[in-house]
Amino acid sequence: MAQRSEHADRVLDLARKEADRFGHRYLGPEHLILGILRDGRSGASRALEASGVDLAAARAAVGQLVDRGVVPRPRPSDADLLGTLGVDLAAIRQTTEQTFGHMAVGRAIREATGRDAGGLGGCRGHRCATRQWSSVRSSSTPASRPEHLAAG
Amino acid sequence: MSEAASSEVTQVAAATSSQDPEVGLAAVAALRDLVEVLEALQVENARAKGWSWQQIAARLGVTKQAVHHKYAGRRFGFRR
Repeated sequence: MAQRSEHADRVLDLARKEADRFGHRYLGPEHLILGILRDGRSGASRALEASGVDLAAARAAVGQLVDRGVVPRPRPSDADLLGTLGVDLAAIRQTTEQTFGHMAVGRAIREATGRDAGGLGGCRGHRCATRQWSSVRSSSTPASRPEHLAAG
Repeated sequence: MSEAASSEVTQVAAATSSQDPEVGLAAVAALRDLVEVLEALQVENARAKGWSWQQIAARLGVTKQAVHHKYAGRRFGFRR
């Protein structure tokens, strides 16, 4: 199989950013085109631009596809989705960070979901569901483990 | 997508709750990932405290092999 070039990785990364921009949890051809245009340093982007397709026009076109229901609407945040079940994600995050610390929670998110704790890592189907776990605003301060929990 | 549009979708989601399969299924997927994160935290903590895979598996209600296979390769970083 052909190796993916660094340039292709960069375009993929930009495509993911475009997917995020639309609130999408998947990476589709529409995002790849936006990524190519946003990168703007390839024959593909020049060909698109020569045909009158620039980033702004392509984004507007995707927006129209969303409006027409061809492309999915933005998915609600994990906090909102869990809220429909009566689960308070912000409270859970606060509790777990106070108990285990900010670093351990970030590591658990990476290990359990395969995504970066910063929330914008690789997106893999339904695994994207917890993406915004890490973007929930938490009022907690990263705390060391309380003594009573540190006891064996 | 503008924030206003996102907010609108969020409101729709909250209003329709799990009656809408689109929202209900996505909510279950989010919950599943949340459980995975919480389990990873607890397993990491238990290992850091010297619990055996057998002990952890018993509390999780799974076999020792299952929990070992799932977590043994992970690099737990808890400092004692």
